[in-house]
Amino acid sequence: MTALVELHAVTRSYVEGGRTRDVLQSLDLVIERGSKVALLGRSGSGKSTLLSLLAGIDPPTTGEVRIAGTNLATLDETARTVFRRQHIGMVFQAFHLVPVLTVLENVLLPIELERRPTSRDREFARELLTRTGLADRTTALPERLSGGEQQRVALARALIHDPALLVADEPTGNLDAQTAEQVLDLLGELCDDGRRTLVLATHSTSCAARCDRVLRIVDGHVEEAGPPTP
Amino acid sequence: MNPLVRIGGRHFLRHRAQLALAVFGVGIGVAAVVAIGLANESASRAFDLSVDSLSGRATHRVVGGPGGLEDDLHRRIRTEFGVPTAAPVLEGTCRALLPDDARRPTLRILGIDPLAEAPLRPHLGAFGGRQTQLDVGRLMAEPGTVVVTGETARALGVDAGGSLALEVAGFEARVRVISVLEPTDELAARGLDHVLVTDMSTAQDLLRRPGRLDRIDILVSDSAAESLAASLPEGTRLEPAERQRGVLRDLTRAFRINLEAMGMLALLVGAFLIHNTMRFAVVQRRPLFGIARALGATPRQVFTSVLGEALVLGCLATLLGIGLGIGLAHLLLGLVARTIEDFYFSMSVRELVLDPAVLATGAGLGLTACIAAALLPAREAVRVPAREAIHRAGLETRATQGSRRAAGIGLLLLLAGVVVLQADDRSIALAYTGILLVLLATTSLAPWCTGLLLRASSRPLGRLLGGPGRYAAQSAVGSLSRTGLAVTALMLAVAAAIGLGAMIQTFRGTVSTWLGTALAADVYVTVPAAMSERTSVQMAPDSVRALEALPEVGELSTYRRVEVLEATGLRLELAAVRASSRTVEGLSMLDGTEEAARAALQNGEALLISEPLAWRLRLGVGDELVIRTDTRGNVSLPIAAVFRDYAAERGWAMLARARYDALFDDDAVTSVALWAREGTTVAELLEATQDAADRAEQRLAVQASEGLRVASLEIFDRTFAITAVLRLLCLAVAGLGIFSALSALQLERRREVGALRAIGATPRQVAVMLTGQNLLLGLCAGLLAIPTGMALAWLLAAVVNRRSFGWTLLEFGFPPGVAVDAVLTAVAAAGLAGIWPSLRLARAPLSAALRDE
Repeated sequence: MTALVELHAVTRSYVEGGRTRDVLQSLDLVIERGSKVALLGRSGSGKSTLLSLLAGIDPPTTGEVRIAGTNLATLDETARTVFRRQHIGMVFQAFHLVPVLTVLENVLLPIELERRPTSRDREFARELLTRTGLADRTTALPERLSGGEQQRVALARALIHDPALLVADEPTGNLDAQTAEQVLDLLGELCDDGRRTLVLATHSTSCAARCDRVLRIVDGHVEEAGPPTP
Repeated sequence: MNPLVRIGGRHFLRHRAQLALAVFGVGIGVAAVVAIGLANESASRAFDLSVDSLSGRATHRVVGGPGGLEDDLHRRIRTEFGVPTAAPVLEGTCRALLPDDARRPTLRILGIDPLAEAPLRPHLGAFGGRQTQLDVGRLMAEPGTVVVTGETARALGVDAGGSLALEVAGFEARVRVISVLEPTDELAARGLDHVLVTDMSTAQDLLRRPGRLDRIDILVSDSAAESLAASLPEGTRLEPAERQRGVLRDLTRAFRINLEAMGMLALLVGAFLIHNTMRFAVVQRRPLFGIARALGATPRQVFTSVLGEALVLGCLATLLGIGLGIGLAHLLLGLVARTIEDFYFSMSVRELVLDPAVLATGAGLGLTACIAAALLPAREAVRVPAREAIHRAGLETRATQGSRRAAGIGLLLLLAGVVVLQADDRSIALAYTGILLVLLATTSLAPWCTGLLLRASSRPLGRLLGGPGRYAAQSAVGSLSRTGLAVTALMLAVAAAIGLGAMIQTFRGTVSTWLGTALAADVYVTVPAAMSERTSVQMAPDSVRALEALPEVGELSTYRRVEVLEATGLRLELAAVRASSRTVEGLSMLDGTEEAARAALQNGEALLISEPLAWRLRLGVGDELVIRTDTRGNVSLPIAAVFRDYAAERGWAMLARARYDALFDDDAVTSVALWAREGTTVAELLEATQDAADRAEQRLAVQASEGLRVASLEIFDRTFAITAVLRLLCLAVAGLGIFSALSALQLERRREVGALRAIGATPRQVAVMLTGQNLLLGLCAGLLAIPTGMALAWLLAAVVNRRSFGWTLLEFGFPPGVAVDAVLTAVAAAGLAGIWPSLRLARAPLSAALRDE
């Protein structure tokens, strides 16, 4: 397998109250294309920070973040954004759907930010919504959906531009156990074709157990956590 | 500390800019009311002080007709009628000709009999053995001597012993200051500010009124007054001294009411701003209130804390507003005093009076506006179920439903406004109540209309700009609870600004067209003086004769403008006209025929009256007006015609000169109108007239009709300078309001924008989207401001003007440029106001925005 994600000597620091805090320190990491990786760690350990670096939301303070060979650290804000909307899909714990857009409009939004959606895009959006079990809710507004449904819309939205990397930040954190299982099933199913790489941050070991590889973040460093166990 | 108070306090501390904008916006509204109130009150107070100071202890005054009184009457009152405490007065105005100062300040000449002053005006007399700063002997014995107060002397740069060059009724004169008074009491100091106190004979010389008096102030009991009134000769009358006090208030009533109403309009816009701010502040913390209520806060606690915040905010804004208002009042006082001097009478207003009643009114209005504005959001904060309050779901649905309900209420308010406006066609108070109801109606309808416009724009914007365009429109509809308010506040302010603008433009157009007709003669000649002095200035007989003798003159009319009394004691302005065959050409008849007017000006059997006078006294053709005359007592004159006039807001009447001469003991002329002889051009006539004026001893103002038209329009513009200041205030409040609203709106959309950025929107796309949305909101406000502004302009021009002054405008037009102005102003205000918050939001750290809950 080839590497999709390569992190080299990555440090990410924040200034808090005049003092600098290193959240991630000299991080080296390689993630193969098509793999599913779970990130474990305590709250505040840096899981979300690492996902932000992978998604190009934040640049590293020092070091290189390469996605499919492109070093995000050398790109400016706009270039990182354009790269993200072409190659990376994101799923959040709090869903972050746009409340004034319908389900279908939310799913098509990343495409619309790039260009005018074609009929093929619409077809694909409907197909994704069918696969996520929301074919009959395309015209509903997010406030009318349950938490599980909202996350499934977010999932469809993250995949509409067929990204190579899917980054999910505690995607089941706001869901009950049963709904969380359904969402994880769907996530696995949508990423099972071997073309897409999934990196998800979670507190749940059962969620981590569904991945090929589990990493743990401790004191700003990444450790292999051994084979996943349920 | 109460946790809800702490939450509120910290909310505003975290959003200091929002707090500052709200406080400043409301402060400006309060400032407008305070400034106008203080300027009005200071002008009134200056006049009252001047009257009180000059009336002194007098209980009554004897006055005559336009020509005044014979000075022998003073002696007769003291000796024949047995009233020992009587003091004669002759007053007039003049300009000081100061070296190195082109301002030519206006001074009042006060001619007195120093020996008669002590019992009535101790500060002027203090004779009879008491110590005085006045050198009475020199004042009486030396002609051309005056006394001034120290403050006046300093303002004019003259000391005791120095001399002053004056221009009195077009003649140059020189007086010597023999004494400088330093009055110890406030009344005397204020009353004598910019007054030249002189002996009666000097005053008569200066004012060229030999042997004449304006009035005789007397101190008598009521019973003695009755017998004196019965003994006075024909053409003179006795009136209570306090009647003069009400003159200013009466003369300037409409002017003051209109100014106050403009201030209220600014406050209304300001009140809407604070309503906006309070709504935002509450809506933003809706989840917090929900949590607090879920944790046990009672609805009453939440309600009280929201109102408490409004009170604190109101106090801060009111304090700031009063401070700003006092500053602004200094500026407005100059404009108000100038308008009063231009149109009503000459007075010296230099000091701003900090009237506690005005300050209390400003404070009361500011606080009331804040509390009233907070009531609705406070009610909303406690009525929403806690569970619903925590989540935003349902809020916008409620806002949409609420906008429909508000629109219904708006229609009812509109209906109520129309009913109120039609209830009484003369009440100014009801006119303003109607306007207020109409404005409230439009603000109630605006959110619903905004929703309609935004929904309608979604599809075309989507086609034009793709997803971001549609998103801009849909997002604005989706936040109707906030965007509706922002659009309404901007709409109201822009409507107020364009409404005032259109009213002024329409009025100016009417006056300009009317001047084209009214100034029918080729050249006009008069003594240079302010309009307020038009009933007191006189052209010298030699000057009139010189003009009559000019070979270039084909026809000539003379005018004598005087103040006379109607039978009930009402003051009327009367023009005695020696008409030419062309005088009537300058009159636009509203009632009656040109032939009837021509006949009245020839035979003097009837009066012509202007539209404002007809309105004020409810008179029309065929009615009669009874006036008090010098020689025939009360004379009843029928009205032959009513003509259009915008020069004198209280109206005036025209009477043939021959009839006037028979009724009044006065042969003076105020102005002359000249028509060029056939074969002579206007330029030749103007040149010949100017040459004659240059040769005359009296300085005369010679103007061609076009020059006079331009000069009249300049005075018009000066009068409306105050309105222009208020218009700017409205726009300033609007600017602050929309900036505050857009900042708050975008602040709370941080997460939403964060999500957009996370799924691929570039900072530029976000900035363009948000700016586009701001422009769209501005466009909505501009479009809604057009009908509101039109309604306001029409109400001000056709209803308020009519009820205040009796004027009907030639035509009411809403120039297309004003509609374009409305849209451009609103779009520009929203666009400019939104730039900073949009950029700030677009550039906000993405990870922080996504974490922000």
